[in-house]
Amino acid sequence: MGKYDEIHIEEDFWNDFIVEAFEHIDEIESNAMSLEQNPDDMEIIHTMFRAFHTIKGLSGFVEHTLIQEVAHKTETLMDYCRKGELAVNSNIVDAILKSSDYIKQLCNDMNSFKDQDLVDKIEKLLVVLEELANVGEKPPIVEVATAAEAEPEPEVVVEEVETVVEVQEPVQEPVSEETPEAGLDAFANLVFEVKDEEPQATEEEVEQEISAELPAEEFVIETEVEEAFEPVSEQVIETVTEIKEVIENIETEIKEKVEAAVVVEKPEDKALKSFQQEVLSKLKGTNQVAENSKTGATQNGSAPKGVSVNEEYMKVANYKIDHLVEMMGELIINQSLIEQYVAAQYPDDKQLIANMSGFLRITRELQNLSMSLRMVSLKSTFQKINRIARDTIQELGKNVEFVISGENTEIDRVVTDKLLDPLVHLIKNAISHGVEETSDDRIKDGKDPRARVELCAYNKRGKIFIEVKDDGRGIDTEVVYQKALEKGVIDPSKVYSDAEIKEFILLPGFSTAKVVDNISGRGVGMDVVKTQILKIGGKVGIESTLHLGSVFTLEVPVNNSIMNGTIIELNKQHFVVPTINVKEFLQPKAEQWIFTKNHRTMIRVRDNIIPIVPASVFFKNVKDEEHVPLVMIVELGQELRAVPITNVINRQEVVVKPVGEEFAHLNFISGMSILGTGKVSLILDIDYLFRKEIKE
Amino acid sequence: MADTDQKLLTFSLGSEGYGVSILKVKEIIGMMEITPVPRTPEFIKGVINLRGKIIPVMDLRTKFGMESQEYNERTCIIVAEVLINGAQKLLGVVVDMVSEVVTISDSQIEPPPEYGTAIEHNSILGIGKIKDRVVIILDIDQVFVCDEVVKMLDNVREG
Repeated sequence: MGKYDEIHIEEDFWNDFIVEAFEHIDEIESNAMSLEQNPDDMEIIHTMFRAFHTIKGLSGFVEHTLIQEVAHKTETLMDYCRKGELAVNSNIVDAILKSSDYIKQLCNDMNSFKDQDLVDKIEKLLVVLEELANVGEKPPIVEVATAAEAEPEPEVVVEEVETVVEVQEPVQEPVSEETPEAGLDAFANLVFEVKDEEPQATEEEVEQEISAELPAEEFVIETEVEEAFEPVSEQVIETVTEIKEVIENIETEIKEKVEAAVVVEKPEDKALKSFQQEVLSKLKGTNQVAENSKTGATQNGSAPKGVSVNEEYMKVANYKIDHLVEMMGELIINQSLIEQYVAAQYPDDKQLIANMSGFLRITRELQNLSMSLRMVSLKSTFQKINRIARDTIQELGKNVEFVISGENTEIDRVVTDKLLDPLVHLIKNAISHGVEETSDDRIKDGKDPRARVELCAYNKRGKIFIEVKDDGRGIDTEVVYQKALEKGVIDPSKVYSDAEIKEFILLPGFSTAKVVDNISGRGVGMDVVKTQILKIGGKVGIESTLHLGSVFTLEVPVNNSIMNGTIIELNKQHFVVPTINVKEFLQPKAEQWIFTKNHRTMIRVRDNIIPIVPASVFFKNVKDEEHVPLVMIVELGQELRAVPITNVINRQEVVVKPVGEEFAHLNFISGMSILGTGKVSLILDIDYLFRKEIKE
Repeated sequence: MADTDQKLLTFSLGSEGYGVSILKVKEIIGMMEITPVPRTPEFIKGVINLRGKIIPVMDLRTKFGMESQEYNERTCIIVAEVLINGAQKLLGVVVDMVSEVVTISDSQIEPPPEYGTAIEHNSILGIGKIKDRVVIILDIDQVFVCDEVVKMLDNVREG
């Protein structure tokens, strides 16, 4: 084909473009999902229509004709839907999702339009889109007319602005022929003329009264137009169709000329761009007005759909915020140094102490504030999962309702990034293994044939809880136990409680799925979930009742950069252990030790026999000491380990820093921290203590 | 080739004079408490907190196989920017004493000796002669990215 070989992308705009485009794509995806649930929801259809329309406009700026084409065709399809000429069905939703996928792919790589495979696929999609649209095709009806006819109030505002954008390209012509400024003026005039022109032309056929009102306040026009149009709409439609055709012809003609001209005329680019940006921001502004008034008008209590970006927000680069948070951590450390000094040196200076405490209040406030900057809602994570859940359900052909709640729960950005994979595993598991194979199986159990999988998040005791719930089969502890025995991952002589048996599914290499499919069932998923969550200082909980369903709960800290640590002394050095993993400290008595081959290998604590992790695991050339004054018992999941230590120092909040690349090989360290004294301390990787033992 | 000047930060280890390009040096700090990191080569003294950044520190004496010496008030940590696996990293280098910044022109630099030093050959950029003094000009990137570090990384990857 090679039809798109000649795409010449405006690189200067590209980055801005993809940021904008991705926002709209995200919006489209989540809306497509809700649209599938409520195919008649005009609100969603309008929002999606606008999103595609905007993408179309934006891709025009960067001159990516392929994206433009996809957006255009999808927009046309949406247009039929929003006029009610086409009922939304799953084919349409599929096509929309595909469009957004392809646009995303094209955005991800600026040069992907050269990938012939992708282009072929897209062209297939374009055909599908056209076919779908053809079903609803009737004599073409022009936007302006419909807008006046059927849309809710602010809609017209948007429509008119849309017209502006559409005429933008043709109007580029004067720019290339005259000086930039003059060109701009002409451009501007033309744009705003055209805006008025359209209704004016139609007005000849309609009542005189509208003409006076038209160029004035848009809201006023709108109602007037609406009233006036109703009786004569048929007539209007014809006329407008004609006008539209004429405009389209002019558009293509001018476009050709402009394309030829713009390539040659470089100096104008800047002026042109700044103007384009102006128009763009105007467009956004107006869109927002429409958006705002729309949400205001929404009466149904349903969650706000498709309300997109606002200019009241500022986009700040992540690294700046990270740096701010880092510096805040430093400030706190410095402050505690001063605080200690003041307390020691000037305990009687009331004024100084009062000033200090004022200072402390402010820094604490500042720290909370800076931490909150990094907080993001789980919305985008949940949105991605929603999409995956939909695809999984479709692929398996199961009758499942997928429900999301609590997506507004806020969590540190760094943590959200790490939640996606585990959640995807859990959701896929719930759908493929949790939910019964067929609806009949469910009816047999006296359940609704339609299964329900739920993803919800909430905040409790300063932690974030995320639950993945299904009302499926539940975990059969008998099957799990047998499987675990078969795989040899458990001790056959031991008696396990039901709760313990349920935890087996989190063990590495454990999978009860009979067939390995591409959804889940390779037995890697669940232990990945566990390790990932542990890494961010969280826990995985399993609750399950046979035939009734299961709940997997992820309990994760709100942020990852501050942790409650217990500081211990080991081999004359201080280490930090996550307090969450410390079960107890005890002074061992001689009879508690269990020796094998003259080495202390285990310790008996009440009913438990706990393996010892010797200091040599951490240090080279260290002999196990004769006298062990203290033992720290750490727990991970259901397992325990005993670590002989010399002393417990204290417990405090520590700032966690990642291990630098140069020490990445030290797998017994999970991070480094700066203590209140400004000293660096290593954080022991609890996970490693358990892994090491398993290997040996 | 024109005779170009460059600036070196000079320092000493025992009686020997060394120099590194000033462009590599981020700052010089006094000795501070270093947190040892187990299972690293001996010349890695540990890590320090440089205003919120945790950076590794190496002892150049140990690295060059010289007898170690008690740290005193003249002992300094030169914070240098080094390339590790293609990424810029900060690294602290413990030296006996920092001397001064000198300007040296290419004509004053001789190629490194083929043998006769305890230092790996490719860590030396050249021998500079400044008045009556001789300084060994180090390639700080190479000093850190040396056999031991590579070995250390490999070892643990296997294990």
